[in-house]
Amino acid sequence: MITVNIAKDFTRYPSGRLKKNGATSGEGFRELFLEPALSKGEKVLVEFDGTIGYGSSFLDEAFGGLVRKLRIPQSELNENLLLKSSDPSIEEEVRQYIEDAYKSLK
Amino acid sequence: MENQACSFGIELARFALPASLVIVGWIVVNHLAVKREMDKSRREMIAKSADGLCDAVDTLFEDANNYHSSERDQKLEVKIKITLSDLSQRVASLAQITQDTSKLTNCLSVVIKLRQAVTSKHFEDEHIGSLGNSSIHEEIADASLAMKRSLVELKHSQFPLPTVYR
Repeated sequence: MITVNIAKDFTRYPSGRLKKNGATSGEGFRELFLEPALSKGEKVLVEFDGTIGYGSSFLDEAFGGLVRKLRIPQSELNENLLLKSSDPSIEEEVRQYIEDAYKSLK
Repeated sequence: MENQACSFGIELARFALPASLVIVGWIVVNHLAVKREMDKSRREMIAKSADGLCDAVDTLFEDANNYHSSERDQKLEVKIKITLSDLSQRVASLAQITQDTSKLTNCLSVVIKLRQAVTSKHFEDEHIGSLGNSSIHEEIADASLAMKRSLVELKHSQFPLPTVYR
């Protein structure tokens, strides 16, 4: 299993949706850490603590965008993508974006 | 000899029984008083936290409206994200001292709506300049009001009316 601590491995200042507007965007994070591992069926644990905070556009692009782009079966993603945060609202919001993305694919 | 021992036992019981009742009574009353005081402090702490969180929501409301009504301000983006993070962490930490978790669960789901209203559109790289009349301002106002309402409900639920007033 791969553990990704956003603050240590990516940035303490995650910001924005698209990487064309900044290296610390949700799209940049998704392409760098989530897509390579999850497309190979590896398990990924994402740790959210340690950053200054998250904007919803970052979270939606990183996790909702993952579903829209890779179209991994929902059961596989639920099994392989693990989330860890001391703030329960972050985990719940990410789950919402994943759920909404699957609904939009149907 | 046997009579002497018997009367000594009776004398001892006459003294010891009331004394032990007094001691047990004192322990029970003291325990209940300590419990009542701790419960009162806990309720007051939750109420005070809810007031502080309402103030933070007011500040966030002002900052968010200023942000979306002006040119992009990256310092304000950081401040808004820190405030939102702090808000949700403070609400979540109340779980350690709140007995009624349903009100707290509601607060946490409203925190998500507030973060989405402020930061899901026209935020950071999507900020295209000052917004005039936009539904974003309405969404921020609605989410801020919902947040404050849920915090007030959490606060008031700490002081339920005695059944005689219902």
